[in-house]
Amino acid sequence: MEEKKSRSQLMTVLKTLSRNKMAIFGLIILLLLLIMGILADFIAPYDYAKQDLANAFQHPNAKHLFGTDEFGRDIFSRIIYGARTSLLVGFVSVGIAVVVGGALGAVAGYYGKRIDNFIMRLMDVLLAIPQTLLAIAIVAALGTGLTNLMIAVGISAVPTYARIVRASVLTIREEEYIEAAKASGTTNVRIIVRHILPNCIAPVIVQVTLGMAGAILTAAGMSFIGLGIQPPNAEWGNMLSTGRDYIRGYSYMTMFPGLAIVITVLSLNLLGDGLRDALDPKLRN
Amino acid sequence: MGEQNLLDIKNLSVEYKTEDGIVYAVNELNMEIGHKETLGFVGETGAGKTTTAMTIMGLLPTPPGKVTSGEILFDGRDMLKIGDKERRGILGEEISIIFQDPMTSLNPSMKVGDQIVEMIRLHKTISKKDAMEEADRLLEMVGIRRERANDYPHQFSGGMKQRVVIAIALACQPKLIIADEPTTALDVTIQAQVMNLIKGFKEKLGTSMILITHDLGIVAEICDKVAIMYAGQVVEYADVEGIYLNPCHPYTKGLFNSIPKLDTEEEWLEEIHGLPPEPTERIEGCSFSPRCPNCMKICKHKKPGITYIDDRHYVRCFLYENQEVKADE
Repeated sequence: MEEKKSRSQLMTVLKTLSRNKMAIFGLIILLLLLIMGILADFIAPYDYAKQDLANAFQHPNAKHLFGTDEFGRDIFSRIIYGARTSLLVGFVSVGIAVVVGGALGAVAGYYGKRIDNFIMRLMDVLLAIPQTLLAIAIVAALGTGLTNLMIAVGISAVPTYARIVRASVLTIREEEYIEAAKASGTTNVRIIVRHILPNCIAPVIVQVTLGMAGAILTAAGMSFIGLGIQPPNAEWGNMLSTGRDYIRGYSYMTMFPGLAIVITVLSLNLLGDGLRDALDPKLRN
Repeated sequence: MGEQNLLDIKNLSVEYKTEDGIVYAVNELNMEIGHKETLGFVGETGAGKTTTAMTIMGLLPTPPGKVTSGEILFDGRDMLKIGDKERRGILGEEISIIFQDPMTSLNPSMKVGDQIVEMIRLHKTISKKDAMEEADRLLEMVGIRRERANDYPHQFSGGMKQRVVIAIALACQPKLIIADEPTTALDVTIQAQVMNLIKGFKEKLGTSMILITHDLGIVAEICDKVAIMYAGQVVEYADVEGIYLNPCHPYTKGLFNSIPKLDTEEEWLEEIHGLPPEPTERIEGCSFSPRCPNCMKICKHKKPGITYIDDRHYVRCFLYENQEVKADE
């Protein structure tokens, strides 16, 4: 009872969210994908990289649920391992973007004036370049590979978070409790970290869910054009890319990774939309 | 008066630069508060009370605000000249503030206990556990059960939130508390409770206090001195007895007249005619002259200086400058 009471703000949000069927659907799919990614070693029937040339180009059948690719690798297993990669890329790159963008946005919004101008004009420059193009440029500079891909996708999303955090900081820094914190002799850094950021988390959560979908798409796109994760590592984007050559005869090779991307992005977007409604007090009834 | 005052404000002027022109928020304000004294700071909205309080704490937003002259001596230190670090050491520990609206002066995402702990740990090097214990004790002192330290502000009523705010303000046993209309946002029965609480602590801890308020009743009850503020200036300054028994400035008289009387039935409340001057325009002469029932020729083009009625009572009004002369004769 006591516990329930002190969590009531979270409870209201969850309650509102639970009324939104689509959002819950998205959440369930996302959780399934997450479990799939984490337990890939136990779920996947085959090693994702194991080649079996004798059984190459098999259409979906009882032994290979989603069929096999041009080297006889089991596509079902590769999809499962691909979930791990995609979610990892999603979480880490969005994590980078939130931390860096959040810090920049908070500093810009709190201190204002010249610092604000400097940081936000820099962000405007980054925003002028399309996100995917920027990520491509960064990977081209850093080299391919999982880590570099995450850094590239992360950096390209920084301006979005900087803007969101700055906007919330601008409203929250005028609140009386910030004034009160200043009047208690709190340092500026402490005010930002302890008093401002915890209160502007709501819009960030929404953007994180939606941004994760974007990050996964960007990462898949990068792998598709060969700048992301390279085969034999399992990644939905590069599976699409190899499948493309055989799309006339063996369309299942592109269909399954494509479906995986669509489902993941869709579930994240549904959840994000639901969260946005749940966290917005104006839409709450 | 040999002893040093806790707070001494001399000739303080503050202005705000706005798009409509310069707002003269505080004009040549003088006041002093001794140790363990309570000063009532009374005046209409926009008279510059809060600006003065913020300036004392060094929290005036600059720009648009700007201190154009004067000095604020707190315990011998000029609050306008000290650095940020020294100021942070003074704020909270030696001066703390109780804001007007308890609904917005607590951080909604932090447990109230943690907010008290935060204040204590900012100024004292003590372990988290001891600070928690101290926070619980403070909550009980203001009449809140210690279990509620784990609750968030939205779970408290307005009066209880203000109690929490008071607990935070008292956490480091400051020498001076600035209470900016601490009961305006509360309903009447709670107002009395909170005022009694504040009064009790003031006596127990021996802190000085600046009480900003519109309520002359509260002033009479707990203040030692009163400063009546009008258009950024203290127009009358005296002991409580002096103000209530012998109000001198026409504005002070007007304020007292507008209090409804309990023993007669009144259809209309007395009012002070007119409106306070636009803060952007600088009135030549006395700023109260356009509304003053006793306005004389001289009031229109000369600013009245300080006239002492007795050594603890001054007024800025030409009516009394003559009187002083008479008294001398």
